Amino acid sequence: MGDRSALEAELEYVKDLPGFSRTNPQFFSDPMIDKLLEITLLMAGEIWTNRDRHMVMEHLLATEGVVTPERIEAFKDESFAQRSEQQRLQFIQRIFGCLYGDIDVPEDRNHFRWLTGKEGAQDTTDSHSP
Amino acid sequence: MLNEDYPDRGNVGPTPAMTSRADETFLDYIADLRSVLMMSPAKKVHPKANAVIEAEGIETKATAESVEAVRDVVRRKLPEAGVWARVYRSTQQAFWNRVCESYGLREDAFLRMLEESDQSGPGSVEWDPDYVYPDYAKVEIHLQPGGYVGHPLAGLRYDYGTRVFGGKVSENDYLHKAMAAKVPTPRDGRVERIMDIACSVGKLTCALKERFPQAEVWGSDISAPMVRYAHYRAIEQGQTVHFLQKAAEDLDALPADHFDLVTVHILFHEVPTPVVDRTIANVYRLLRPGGTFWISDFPSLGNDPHGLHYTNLLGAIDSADNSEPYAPEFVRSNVEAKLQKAGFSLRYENPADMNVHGRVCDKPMKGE
Ligand SMILES: C[S@@+](CC[C@H](N)C(=O)[O-])C[C@H]1O[C@@H](n2cnc3c(N)ncnc32)[C@H](O)[C@@H]1O
Repeated sequence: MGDRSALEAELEYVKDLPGFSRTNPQFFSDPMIDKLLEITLLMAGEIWTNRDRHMVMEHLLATEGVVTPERIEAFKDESFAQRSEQQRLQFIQRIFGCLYGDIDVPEDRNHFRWLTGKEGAQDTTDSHSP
Repeated sequence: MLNEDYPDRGNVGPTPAMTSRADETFLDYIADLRSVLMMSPAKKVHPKANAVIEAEGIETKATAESVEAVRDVVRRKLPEAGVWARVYRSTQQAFWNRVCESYGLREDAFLRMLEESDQSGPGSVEWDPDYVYPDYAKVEIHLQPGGYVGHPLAGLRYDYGTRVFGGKVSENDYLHKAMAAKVPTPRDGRVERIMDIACSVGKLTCALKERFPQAEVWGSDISAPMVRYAHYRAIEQGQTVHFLQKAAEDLDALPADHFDLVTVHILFHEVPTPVVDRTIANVYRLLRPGGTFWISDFPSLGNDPHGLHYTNLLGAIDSADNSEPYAPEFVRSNVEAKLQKAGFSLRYENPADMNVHGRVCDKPMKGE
């Protein structure tokens, strides 16, 4: 567009905004705590992933008597998935429940809601249209 | 998506599945980790942290110093806020890394897939392989590696990434379908042409086509990887939608008085103010008299009567450490006033309306 360069000049300021470039933040007094917390979060994910594979293998052995890598990759089962989801939430609570001290962490799986920052903000899906 | 080294795991809805079950399982875990250790505790951790930040006299501003002052209070006095921020940052990086790594194993096959869908229908896609992106658009928003424009598979990555980011509401495009169902129509009810600006992977665009099957539906986005993948995704759903690579500030290249309905979902907080201003002017021109503009975005100064929510802990950490550099200026701007200044009449706005933050504007009829 004709005014591309005018716009570019107006946008010079953005390079100084926080977040324009990737940061490397530290949130604990000792930066090693940041790293160790990250490691435990990731490591528990790998443990969970292994556990899932065991559970799938056991399920396949019990129901079909054979297991192959292809069969594991293709495996889908709604009731297995639901059970596994419950177990995953318990797994997370069990390992990380202590992190927030006595703050009780209820489950809220609408990941958009928190961005409003407002208690009682309505979900899009239950608000009525204009 | 076939690649002889990996078994075909099919799709999750219109989205290609992860390359291995292990990747999918890990990402399900990350999504739940974020629910339990980030979304839920935020309700209690944020107010407490914000009180301390305010008591320390820190004014949250969009400067590196102000952000570092917030982090410093977190380090000295707020270990729970530190946990929240660390979980946020580490899980955000972890899910992008895993998504990119997993799809990356089949990168050639996905590139071929996009080349094929470029040439296929229903619908169409138009993009420019030589497009030069402005610097502001190259930011790695939400820490996505390469951002929206820097990698040919950015659309594919964003699609799976937002499944993790959005949690349950993203499944089966639930959120976008729910939004499309509520998008207001012009007062005279005529909806023949629709433009969905900053359509990314085209979820809202396709949901609008589903709701208005007779209408000609367009989605535009600055990013070629986004519109190309959006077109692939629309084909997967059998939807006849047209995608166009075009920056919102450049939409003045399209004919005036042309569209009945223009939508824009969560673009404005992700672009600098001068881009928002030009976009508003362009939309006014694009709409026919009586046409309707629907904007869904964060609350801003104009419709956040209970005080800006995007400040203190969330404002500092999300903007700086989750790369949302333009969100602070958006929430401090008065979008409602700008819309009215551009000529729109504001039909409705509701700051409590989650995800909609409904701003519905009409372009007056001639003589109105
Ligand atoms: C958060 S996503 C939009 C989500 C999408 N509307 C949806 O409902 O799924 C932001 C999108 O804006 C696009 N974008 C960024 N700057 C833009 C601009 N100046 N004009 C048009 N699109 C832009 C990005 O490429 C990205 O796809």
